[in-house]
Amino acid sequence: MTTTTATGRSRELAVAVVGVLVVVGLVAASVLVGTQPVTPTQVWHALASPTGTESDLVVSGVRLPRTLVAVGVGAALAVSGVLLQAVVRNPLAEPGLLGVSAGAGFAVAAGYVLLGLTAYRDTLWLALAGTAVGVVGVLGLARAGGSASSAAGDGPVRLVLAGVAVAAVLSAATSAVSMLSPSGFSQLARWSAGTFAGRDLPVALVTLAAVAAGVVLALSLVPGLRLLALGDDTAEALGTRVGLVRGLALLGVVVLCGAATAAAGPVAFVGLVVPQVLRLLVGHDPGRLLRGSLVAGPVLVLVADLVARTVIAPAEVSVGVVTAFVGAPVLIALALGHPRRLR
Amino acid sequence: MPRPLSRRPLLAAAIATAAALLAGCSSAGAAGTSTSDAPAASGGGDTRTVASAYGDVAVPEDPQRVAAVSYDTPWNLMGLGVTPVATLDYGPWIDEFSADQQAFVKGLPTVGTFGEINVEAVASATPDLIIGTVEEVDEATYAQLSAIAPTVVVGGGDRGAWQTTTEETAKAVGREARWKESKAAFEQTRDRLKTQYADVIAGNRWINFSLGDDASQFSVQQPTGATGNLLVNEMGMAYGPGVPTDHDPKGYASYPLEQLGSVFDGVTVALTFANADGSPNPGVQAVRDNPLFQRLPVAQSGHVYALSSSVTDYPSATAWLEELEQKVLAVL
Repeated sequence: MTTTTATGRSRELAVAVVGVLVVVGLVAASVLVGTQPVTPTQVWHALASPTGTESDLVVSGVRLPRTLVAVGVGAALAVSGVLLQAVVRNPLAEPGLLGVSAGAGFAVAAGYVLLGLTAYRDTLWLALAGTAVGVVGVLGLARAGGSASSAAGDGPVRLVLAGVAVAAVLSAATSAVSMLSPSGFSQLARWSAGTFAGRDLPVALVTLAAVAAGVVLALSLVPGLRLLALGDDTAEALGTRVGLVRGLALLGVVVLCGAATAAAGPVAFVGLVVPQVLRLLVGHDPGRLLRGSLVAGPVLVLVADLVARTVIAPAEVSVGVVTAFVGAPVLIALALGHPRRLR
Repeated sequence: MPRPLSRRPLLAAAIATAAALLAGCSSAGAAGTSTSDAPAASGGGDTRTVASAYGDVAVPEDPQRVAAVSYDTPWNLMGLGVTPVATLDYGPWIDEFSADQQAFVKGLPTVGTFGEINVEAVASATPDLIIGTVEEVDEATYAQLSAIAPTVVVGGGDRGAWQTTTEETAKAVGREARWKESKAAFEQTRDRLKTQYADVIAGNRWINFSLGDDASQFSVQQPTGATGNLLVNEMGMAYGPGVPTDHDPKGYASYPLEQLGSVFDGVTVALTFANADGSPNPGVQAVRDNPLFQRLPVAQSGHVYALSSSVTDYPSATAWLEELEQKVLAVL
């Protein structure tokens, strides 16, 4: 429920300020941490008055793009998790589990191997198209399975099953396609577990712009999502255009996930863990969840990225591996522990 | 309501079927091992004993049908004048090899892919000798291959120790004389270059780099790898002082691009790889195009050279040295 009291609002504001400060702190840590030592003075020099020194290039060419991509991807995946869960009314819904990211991954791999498209501009469009196909495919499959019989289990679990099936088929197809190109093979293998490395500043900025567009769309849908949570009939009776809200929310998911996957490859579980944790803290209001995701998503992903590049330095673990370590136990706990919550 | 099928008879039937299958499999296995105790020897002929990674092996004195089951084996055999009867399927990766190498293996029956040897295909090629490397042939596969023909598994040291692996291969196929000739030719070229360009070699600090494990990394060839072995151990070239000296048996180490400055510290000549046809390798080019690479003193002075020969044995090492002389030593 929305809080309208003065104390409620000021408390929410205080929490928001603390959250933003945490994100800023993690951004600073992300820029400063790495195999090559960089001091805060050098970071300031790189940002304010770069002269092409080694530390300038390390900061602006390696650390900063990586950090910006992490922030963008964290926000994108968390927000799209909230949107997806609201649309399908299923707390287990998230882009990685539902094969949405796998759709983007396959499109990028196919474009790279079959059409030779490697520029980020092309990758972005391929990822958007692949994400859209993934969303349509999974929702269609889940609905078809539901109308046939209920033997496959409850609605929420059936959706996850459909997602796992679609993701499995698409990732097998991605592997098959990548075997056709020796040069693509190792690059795609690395990319498909999720990584923020190897991106330059223009790519990072385009990613942030696309994510911002998706976030603006999501925030504009908050009133509609609130009514959607009351059930389709009630919402329609209250004047909501249920189909339009759902469609726009899914469009937001496509834009956000497509941009995130194009930049960093598929990163799983962020869209699951962040909304679940936020629900425990701030309740079920879509507005609060979306705003909270803008802070909590980047926090989770920045921490995961810091772990990914320090735990076996100078080698790196894929970010997707770290988020899976965090997310898989959460998913298991959700699926097993609170069956009532899934209805 | 229809009665569900009673579970007990079904369970009993399932257990009985499983037991029958297991009995059948184990008896077939026993029959298999008992009839193929000794390696299938080709019609007559003397044998000699050769040392191999998994113990001594009795090989034919003059093998006529050699199966090459590992990645580099065909090229080692090519250098010894032996044409294999079967090789791995290189798939689209065949384009990474030189035109001569591609012509050498064209049309030969294939026996699986890298990491997955198809033992039945090896058997149907009816070899009288099988050769592979210890990195790619584990003991279980070795046992299966030994049942088809004498199998010599070479290697066991560093990944790049091509001098010893080619010697073992030469002994296995009985072409030691040819191997010694190619070694002598190599040593002649090597010693000539070391004398003729002694100043150039001693007056520079070298490095051999390539693309890294992902888009944000680069790699350095270590003396434990094939090309690093040739550069450092054979030619006596010294790497820059910034190159880490903890060597990995896999032959290279991958570092984040932000370490380019420190790893390349003091390097005056940088060598890298081009494709077999001389065209630039995209991964290597991406490293060279990175601003962090372009600001290195060695890049600014223009002393970055890409060589297209790959080193797998003495003849190819000699070719690499000749390319080094032509493109680098004579120019510096």
